[in-house]
Amino acid sequence: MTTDRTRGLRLLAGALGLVALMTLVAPDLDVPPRQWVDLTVGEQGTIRDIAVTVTSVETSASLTVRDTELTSTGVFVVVDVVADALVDPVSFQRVQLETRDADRYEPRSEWISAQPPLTQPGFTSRGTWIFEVPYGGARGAHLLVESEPREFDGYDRGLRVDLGLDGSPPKPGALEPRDASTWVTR
Amino acid sequence: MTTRSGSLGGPTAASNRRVTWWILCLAAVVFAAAVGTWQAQAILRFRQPTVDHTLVGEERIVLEGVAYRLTGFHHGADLPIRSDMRDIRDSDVVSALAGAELVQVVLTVELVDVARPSDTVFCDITVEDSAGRSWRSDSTVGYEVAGPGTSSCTGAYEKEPKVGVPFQVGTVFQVPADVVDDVTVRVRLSGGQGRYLLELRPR
Repeated sequence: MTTDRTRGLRLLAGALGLVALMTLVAPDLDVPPRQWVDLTVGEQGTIRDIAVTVTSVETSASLTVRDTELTSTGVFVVVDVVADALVDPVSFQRVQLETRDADRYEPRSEWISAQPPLTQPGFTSRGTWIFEVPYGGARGAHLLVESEPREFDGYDRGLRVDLGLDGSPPKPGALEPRDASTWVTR
Repeated sequence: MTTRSGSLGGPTAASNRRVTWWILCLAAVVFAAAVGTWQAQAILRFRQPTVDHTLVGEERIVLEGVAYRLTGFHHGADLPIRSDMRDIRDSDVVSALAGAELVQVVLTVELVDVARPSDTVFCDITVEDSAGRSWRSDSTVGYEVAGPGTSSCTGAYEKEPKVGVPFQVGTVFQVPADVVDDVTVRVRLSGGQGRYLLELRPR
């Protein structure tokens, strides 16, 4: 009996240990994605629904929106991209800029017509995301692009693009982002 | 030997207990595997629902008190524009992007059971090619194309559907021209007791 009880306790301890191990190694589904695909400007990255290439990056202290100049006390980071939808329509809902201090910024909404629009399979979109960060915050920043939100997406990968910003002063003069465009590719 | 091991808890009794333990362990593993498999299947089915019914041409199906039928599948580089948009656009047609075509899908919906409230008839219409790529309605051009006044299976906002009176639901897609002949219509139905995925083949 003692032997059986000991064996049972060992079995229970083993099972609890297994559960603890699985809990430790399982990803935290509240902070998707778990893995990042690291890229640089000009490289194309592919995740579940999207293929994205950052084609150019500029910084500026002022931008033009609907013929009005908007000036920042920080820096505007202007990211031009080309994106393909691979399987399902993509609306680019999960795009952020991450600074070296791990602060994250959403694209500014004033230039929504410049942002890549809803893109469907067989089409390619060109567009621009504009972020505003504190002065000095652009240095070493990355663009983060994640897959479209779905019911179960905790295990997805995301694209992390090194924007190659070295902290140089922003370009003088106001930039004027172009409207986004879409064309058929295949 | 036989007497001692059988009635006094000797080696055979210990052996039986061991076998019982192993059977219990095996049963636990089988149970855990079965639950895991069932959960995985449920998740996969939720993410990638399989087609419940396939209809060809204008075949009709009745599900939970509502009848559905594909009654229109029109496509082209240009489709006729809505009359109230003609002057605004100074054109008789709505045009697709170069290399693309517009696809207008018309679904005829009819309440056949008075017990089914019309405001619970939800449908999500997409088109899909044989490679599994899917397209959503294109709102940038879709609302300008002449056709049914509503894209909702609950009916037009100002005109509640009546039992026995069919009404049309229209949706416009923009797809690459070379996949137009390959696409089929998918309709995800919800709002009733169950969820259904219909595949409607225009040809």
